[in-house]
Amino acid sequence: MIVDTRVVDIDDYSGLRNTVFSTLIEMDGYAVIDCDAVPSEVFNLPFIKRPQNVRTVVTALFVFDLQYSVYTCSPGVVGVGFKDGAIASLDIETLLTEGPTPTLFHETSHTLPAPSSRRFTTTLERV
Amino acid sequence: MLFATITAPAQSVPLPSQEESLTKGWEPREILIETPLKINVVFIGGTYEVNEDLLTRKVRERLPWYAPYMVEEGHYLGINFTSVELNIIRAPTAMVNDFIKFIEDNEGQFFNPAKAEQIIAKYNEQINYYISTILNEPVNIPIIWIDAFLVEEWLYKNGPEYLNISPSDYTIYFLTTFDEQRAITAFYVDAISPETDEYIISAGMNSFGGLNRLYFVNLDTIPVGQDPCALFEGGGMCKGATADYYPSRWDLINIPNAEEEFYNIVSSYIYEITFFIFFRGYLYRLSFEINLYSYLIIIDATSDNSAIEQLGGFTSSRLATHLQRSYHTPT
Repeated sequence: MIVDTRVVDIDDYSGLRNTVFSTLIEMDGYAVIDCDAVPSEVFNLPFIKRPQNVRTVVTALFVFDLQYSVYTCSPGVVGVGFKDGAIASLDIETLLTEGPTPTLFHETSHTLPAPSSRRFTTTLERV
Repeated sequence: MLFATITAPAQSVPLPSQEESLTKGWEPREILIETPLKINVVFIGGTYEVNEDLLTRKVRERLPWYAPYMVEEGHYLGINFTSVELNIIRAPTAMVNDFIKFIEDNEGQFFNPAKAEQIIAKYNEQINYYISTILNEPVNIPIIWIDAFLVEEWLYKNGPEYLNISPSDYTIYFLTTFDEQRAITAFYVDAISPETDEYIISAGMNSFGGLNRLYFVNLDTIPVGQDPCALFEGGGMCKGATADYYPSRWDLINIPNAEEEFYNIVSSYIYEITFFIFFRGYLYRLSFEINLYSYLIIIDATSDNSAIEQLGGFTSSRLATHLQRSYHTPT
């Protein structure tokens, strides 16, 4: 198993940036990442290699500093696993409190079971 | 005769002809096993009687059968639970007493007691306020906070011995020890983040489980989660860890059909636990594939690149170190 860890700036990937922010569903007091449009953009970022006979999964953790919380797919949901990977979102303050490792590891685990294409969600109450 | 045995169909499905058996006997079928689903339902504390027939009927109204289906793959998982069979058990007094002693002995073992106390004080107020509203008088009921993982571990280790059940059974524990304790037990999980050393707590649950084939629900406490839809204008009453969505025994006070409602509440919990915890949980097995390329990407969408600034050195080896530390965190 190879683990490739990166920290990237969304501004360097204009297609992803446009998709994320143009489809962000803003509510009164929070926002939700659109899971119809964003996952495929994330799972096909240009630096992702897909070697033959190797299963490639991508776990992306979005970090926001908006005035409100940003959830993934549905209100109250931190992360969601898909067949080809998982996406999650945290605000910068939570990231600096918890660190990225627990969320990345947790969400990645949703992509690993076989059969792998079920979709799981994680709802956490963060205090 | 051999063919009939091999192709033995589910009840109510017509037997195939011999010709059909010859040609279709080995074809893959969507449902391979049909069996009843047996669940132990254990009540710990209190003196009320539980009518097994009535509770079973209520559960079957919600869950007449259950064949887990993989929506995204478009097929069944091969099993159909044709009916739910409940084994209602009232925990013996010795178990109730030992459970209460365990709760009291392990009260409030927080990783950071000072910070935790600040947070749970707010929840204590919320719980007492909710009950005060129902009773129409101010109350100050003691609330015992206990690590949810410890409770699950205790029930997993001790339940089978007291109750003569198997650890591999599906078992749901309903806790109603307020009658004995005159205090409410509420659950939390907490940790010190392995990479930032900051204290994290998630508190105010009324139920927990799923690490083993058991789940427990305290019918005497009030879940203090937020309704995710309450943020909408005019919204509310969405599925969430709230008193509206997950009522307690307190909600049965001063209502005319309290007994009927008790069975509605308990059967609703059994339905949800079966559906969302037992099968979404236990069909989900973590497995690693050797030929796996795993990208872990942090995408900084902040306005000032503060995530990159703080986590620029986040590498695979750093991640591995933090995971290692988290396993070594005392529990």
